[in-house]
Amino acid sequence: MDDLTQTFIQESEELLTQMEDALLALEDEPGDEEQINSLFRAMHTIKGAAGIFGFDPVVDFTHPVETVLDQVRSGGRALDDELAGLLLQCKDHTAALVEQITGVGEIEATLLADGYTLLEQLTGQVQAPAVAADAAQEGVVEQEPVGPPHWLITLKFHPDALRNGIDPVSFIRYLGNLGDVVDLILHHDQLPGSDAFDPESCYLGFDIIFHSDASKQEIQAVFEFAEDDCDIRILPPAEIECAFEQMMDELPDDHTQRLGEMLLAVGAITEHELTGSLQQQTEQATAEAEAPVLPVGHILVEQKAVSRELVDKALDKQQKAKQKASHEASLIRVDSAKLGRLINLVGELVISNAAVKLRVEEQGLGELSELVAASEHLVEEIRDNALQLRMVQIGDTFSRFRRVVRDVSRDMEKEIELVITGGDTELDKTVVEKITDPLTHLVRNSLDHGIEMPQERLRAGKPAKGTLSLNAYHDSGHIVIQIRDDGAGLDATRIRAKAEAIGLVKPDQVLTDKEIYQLIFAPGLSTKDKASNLSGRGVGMDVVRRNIDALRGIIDIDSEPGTGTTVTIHLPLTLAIIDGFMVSARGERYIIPLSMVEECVEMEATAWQVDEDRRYVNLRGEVMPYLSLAEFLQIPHCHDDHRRESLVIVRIGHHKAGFVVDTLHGELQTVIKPLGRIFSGFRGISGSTVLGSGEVALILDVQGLIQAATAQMQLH
Amino acid sequence: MGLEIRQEQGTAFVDVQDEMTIYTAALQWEQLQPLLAQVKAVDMNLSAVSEMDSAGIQLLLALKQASDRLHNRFVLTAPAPCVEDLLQLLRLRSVLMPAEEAETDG
Amino acid sequence: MTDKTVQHALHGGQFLTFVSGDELFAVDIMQVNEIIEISALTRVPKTPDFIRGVINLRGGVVPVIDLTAKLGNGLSDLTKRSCVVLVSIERNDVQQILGLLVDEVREIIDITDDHVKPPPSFGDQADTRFIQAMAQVDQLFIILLDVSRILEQHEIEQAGAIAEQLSDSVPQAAHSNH
Repeated sequence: MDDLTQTFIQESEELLTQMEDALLALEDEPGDEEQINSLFRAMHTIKGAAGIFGFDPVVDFTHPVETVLDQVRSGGRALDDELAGLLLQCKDHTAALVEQITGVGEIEATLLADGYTLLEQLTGQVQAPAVAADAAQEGVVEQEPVGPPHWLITLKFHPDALRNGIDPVSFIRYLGNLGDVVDLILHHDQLPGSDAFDPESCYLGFDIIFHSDASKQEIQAVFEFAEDDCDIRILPPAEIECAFEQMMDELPDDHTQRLGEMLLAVGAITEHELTGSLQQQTEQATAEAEAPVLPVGHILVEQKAVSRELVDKALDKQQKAKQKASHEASLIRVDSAKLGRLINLVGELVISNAAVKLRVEEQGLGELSELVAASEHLVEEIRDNALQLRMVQIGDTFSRFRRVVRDVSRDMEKEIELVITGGDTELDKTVVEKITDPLTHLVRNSLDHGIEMPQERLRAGKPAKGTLSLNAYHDSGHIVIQIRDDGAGLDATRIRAKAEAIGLVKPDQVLTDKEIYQLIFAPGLSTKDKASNLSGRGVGMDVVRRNIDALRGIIDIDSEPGTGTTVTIHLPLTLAIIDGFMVSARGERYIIPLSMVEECVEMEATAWQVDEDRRYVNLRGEVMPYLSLAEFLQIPHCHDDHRRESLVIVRIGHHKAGFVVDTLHGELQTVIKPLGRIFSGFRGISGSTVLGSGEVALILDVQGLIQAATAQMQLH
Repeated sequence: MGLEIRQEQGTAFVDVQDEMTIYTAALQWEQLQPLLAQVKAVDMNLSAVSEMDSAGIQLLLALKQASDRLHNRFVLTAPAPCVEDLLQLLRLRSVLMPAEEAETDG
Repeated sequence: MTDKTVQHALHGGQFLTFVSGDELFAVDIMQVNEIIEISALTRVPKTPDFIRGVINLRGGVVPVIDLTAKLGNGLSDLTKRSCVVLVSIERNDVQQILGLLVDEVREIIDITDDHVKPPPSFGDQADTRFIQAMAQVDQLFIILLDVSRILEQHEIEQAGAIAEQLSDSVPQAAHSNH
C-alpha cells in the first residue's frame, strides 16, 4: 500500500473518530454548532479525499450523508436521537467501506446493501425542523434560517478615485436598487492629519451589509465603473465568517467591533464567532490600548441581552477550539517506527556513553571527566526529549469508551454516565496501544456486571443513573489509571464459591476479602451466571492481568458491596529507557527502576525491628515485608559474603517492601532490553540492560518481588 | 458664494453657501483648515448646502478629526436635505452630529 | 522452518561441527549466524542449569545454552577454546537468536543422505527431542541438532518450573500462568 493511501486511511480514521466524538458530545449538548460543523467536515473531507483516490463507493455513500449533515447545519433538519443513532451507524459503515476499499479494493455486496438501507433510513423521512425552537430554548442564537441572504461588501477606494470622477456615495445609492443596505460602516481611519490631508484624494472605505436576492455578478456589476479605483470584495454569507477573522487584522478595534455587532445583528455571523474573534482582537490590542477597552462579553450582555453564562461559555469554548486549532497547526505527522529507531539509537548512545565514562575512570583520565559528565548530561536530555516524542495523552483512549458506554447503556437499558478526568496525563504511545484492550475489558465488566439496572439502583437508594469514571494521574514514574463504578460491588462469597468449585482455593484457606477480589483475575473464573455478549465468558480478566503484567504493571481491585468497584492500574510510563538504581547481591549486579526506590537504609537489626522469622521490618513505625535478593534469586555464594547489608525500600502504589542487598552502586541510565521470550515466565526479573562494560545486568521485577515478599511475610 | 465665516468669542461660525463636492473641496479646506488653530470651536451651518458628494463628506470628516485632535468643538447645524440624506445613508449622524443624536435619542 | 530444516538435513548439505563435552555436534550452516568468543556471561536467576546466562551481542541480549548440561552431563568448563555459536531460530514468525556454548568449533563438512542414521537413545534422564538425527562421517558419529527445538523444550520446562515456584510462594490466584 502506498503512502498516500496510508495517509487517507489514517485521516479517515481520525475524522471518523472526531465524528463519533462530536455525535456523542451533541447528546450532552444539543445544538452545539462547533460539533455540528465537525460532523459535516468529517463527511465532507472524507468524501473529497475518497474522490481524489477514485474510491467511488465511499463517495457514493458519504455524499448523501454529507447532504443530511448540511441540512442539520443549516437548521433544516433536527439532530434527534434517532438521527444521531443513524449517523453513528453511518460512521461505522464509512469505516468499513474505507477498510474494504483500501484493503481488497472492492466492496462486498452485503456491505453495499447495508449502505443502501442506511441511506434509505437516513434520507427517506422528512423531519420537522425543530432545531430552531430547541436552540432558542437553550438560548443559543442561531443563524437566520430564512429570507434572502446577507452579503458583505467591502470597498476600499484608491486615493485617485475622486479625481478620476468616481463618487463612492453614488455607488452605494445605486446599490439600493438591487436590494437593501441593511447597515454600513464608513471607514475614515485612513484620513491623514490635517497637514497631509488632500481634500481631493480619497481616503474612504466601506463595509456594507447588503440584503438581496441578486447574484454575485449582479452586485459586482454595480461597481463596474469603480473597478479601477477601488478594491472590491463581495462575500456571500457562507464566507463572511472566515473573512471577518481576516479583517480583524486589517481594521482598527472600533470598526471591527462595530462590524461584528452588525454582522451579528443580521445573522451573518454567530455570536460565538463574534465573541471569540473580538476576544482575540482585544488581546492583540491591549498593548496599545489608550482608550479603555470594554470587554466584548460585557458589551454583548448589554446590547444583545444574552446571559452572561452563555457569553462565558462561548468564550471558553472558542478559547478551547482556538487552542486546539493552533495546536494542530504546529504538528508534524511522523511514522512511529522512525521514533522507535531514534529511541533505540538514543539507547545505544546511552550505553556507549557509559562505556566511555567507564574507560575514563579506569584510565584515570581526570581532565576528561568533566567532558564526559557534560556529554552524559546532554545524553540524558536527549533521552528525555526523545522519549517525550512518543508521549501521548491518555484522553483519546478514554474518549473511545464514550461510544462503548453509550451502546451498552442502550442495549442493556441501563443509564450510565461516563466521567473522564486526567485525560491530559501522558504516557508512552507503545504503552497506550497495549493498554486499550485491557481497559476495554475492564470498562465492559463494570458496565455489565458492576452497574445495576435502574430499578435495582432505585431500590438500593441510589440514583437510577450509574456513573463510570475513568481517571489517570502520574505517581512516582508510573501512570495510574482508575476505572471506578458506583455499582453493586463484587460478591466475595460468590467469587470464593466459584474459586473453590474450580479448585483455585481450598475450602479451609483463610483469605481476606481483598485477596478474594484478586481471584477474579484467575483464569476460568467468571461470576455472572448468565453470559452476556459483552463479557462473562470466563476469559477477560485473566487476559487483562496478563496484559498488565507484560507491561510491568500492577493491577489492584477494591470493592465495597453496594457502593461500587475500583480497579487501579499502575503502569511504567515508558518501556524504553529509565533511570535505574544499581545494587549487587553476592557479586551479581541488578537494577531497580529508580522511580520505585523510596530510600536506602543500612540493614541493622538494632536500628529497625527486623523479624527474621516472620520476614518483616519495622521502619520508623511502618511495618513492611522484606526479602533477601541473594536468597530469593538463589545467587551462589562467593568469597566476599557477609558484608554490611543495605535495605532498599521500594514502592509501587501503596505496596512497599525492602530488598536486602550487599552493595549500592548508585544511579545509572538504563536502556531496557527485552530478555527474550524464553525468560518471560519468570517473576523476579523484568528485563535486562547493557552496562558500560558491555556486560548484561538484569532489571528486577519490583512488582513480582514485592508480591513474593508480601507472601513470605504472610506465610510465616 | 462659498463660505461665510465669522468669529465670536473663540467660536468660528461657518455658513456654507455652496455645494460641498470634489469641485469645491480643495478651496473650502484651504479656507477652513487655518481657522481651526485660531478658535476653540467651529459651528458649521449646512442649511444652504446645495449638493454634497463623497469629497464633501470626507471634508467634514477631516475637519471633525482635526478639531478632535485640537480638542475643539465641532458642531454641524441645520443640515440641508441633501446632507441629511447622505448622513443617513452612510450612518454618519452619530459620528458627525453626536450631540443632536443624543438629544433625539434621549 | 522446522519442516524445511528436517527436509534440508535429511537431504544433506553443509554443516558446522563442534565439540561439547564428549560429543560431536553439527548444525546446518544455514542456521548459523556467527561464532563469537565467550564474553561475560550474566546468570539469570532461577533458570535451569543448561541456560548459562545471557550475553550482550552488539546491544542485544542473547541467551546462551550449554549443550553438555542440556544432555545431562554437567556444566561445561570454560576454556580458551570455548566459544558461542549463534544460531537463529524462527518461531511463529519471530526471529530469535540463541547462543550455543561449545567447547571447540571444528569444521564445515558435507553431510549427504547416506550418512544419516536415526537418532539413538540417550537414556531416560536427558531430553533428546532437539536431536534431529545422527550421521556417520569417516567413522565419526555426529549429532545433528534441530536448534528450533532446543528452545521449545526449554520453554516447556521453564513454564513448569515457574508454575511450581509460584505455587509455593504466593497465593495462586494472584498470578496467571503463562
